[in-house]
Amino acid sequence: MSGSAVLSVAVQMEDFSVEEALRRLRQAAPGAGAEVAFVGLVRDQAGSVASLTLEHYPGMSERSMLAVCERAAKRWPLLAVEAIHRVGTLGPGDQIVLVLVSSAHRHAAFEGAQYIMDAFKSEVVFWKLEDRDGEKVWIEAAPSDQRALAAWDEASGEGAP
Amino acid sequence: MLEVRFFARLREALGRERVSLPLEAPGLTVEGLLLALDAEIPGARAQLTVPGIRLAVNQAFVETEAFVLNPGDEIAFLPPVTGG
Repeated sequence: MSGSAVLSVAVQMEDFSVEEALRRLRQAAPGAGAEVAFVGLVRDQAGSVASLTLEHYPGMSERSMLAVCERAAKRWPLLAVEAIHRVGTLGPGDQIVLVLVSSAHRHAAFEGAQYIMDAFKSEVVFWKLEDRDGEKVWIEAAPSDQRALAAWDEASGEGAP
Repeated sequence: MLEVRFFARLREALGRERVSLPLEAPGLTVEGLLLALDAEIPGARAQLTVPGIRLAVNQAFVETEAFVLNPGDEIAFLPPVTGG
C-alpha cells in the first residue's frame, strides 16, 4: 500500500487557501472516500503575542516534511497528502500550517493526518520566534510533542525513526 | 572545505550564521569538528553540546555516534524544532 500516494509539500511566505488546496488534492488522487484537513493557526495567548516569526532550514525543511509524509503513506493506505508550512512573520489568527490527507476510508485519513502533524511538531526544521510586547523569545519545544510522536512509534512496534 | 550552519537561538548565541572549515581528507569525527569550531568561535563547544541539539549532514538528521565527515559536506546544528 506504500508508494502509490501522491505527496506534495511546500514551504512558503504567502498565505494558503484551504479550498484551493483541497481541489488540488482531489485532482491529484480522484476516487477518495474521505478527506481530512488540519489547519494550524497563530494562537493569541491572552492578547500578549504581537507577532510570530518562523525561521527554517531551506531545503531541509521541505525534505523533512516529505519524509514525514512518506512514513505516513507507508503506514496507512493514503491516496494523497498535501502539506504547506509558512515561514516569515505572522500575526495572531494567521494560518501557519496545512495538512490535507485523502484515503478510501475515514480512519486512515484521520490517523494519517494526526500522525503527520504529531511528527511535524518534532521532526521538521522550523523554529518560532515570538514577539511578546516587544520582547523576542524563541519558543521552547514542548515535551508533550515528543511524547505524542513516541506514542505512534510504540503503537506500531517500531523504534524512533 | 566543510560548511557549518547554525540556526535560530544557536545562531544568535554564537553570533554566526555559518562557518567554513578546511577539511582535506575524509574521516573527521564530531569531537574533531567541535574542537575546530571552538577554536573558530570561543565557547562554541559548550553551546553546541547542550542536550536536545541535533545534527544534520547534507540536510538529513544524523546521530552523533555515526558521524564521519567528508570534504564538501554541509553540517547544521539544530536547536529543538518548534514548527507545526
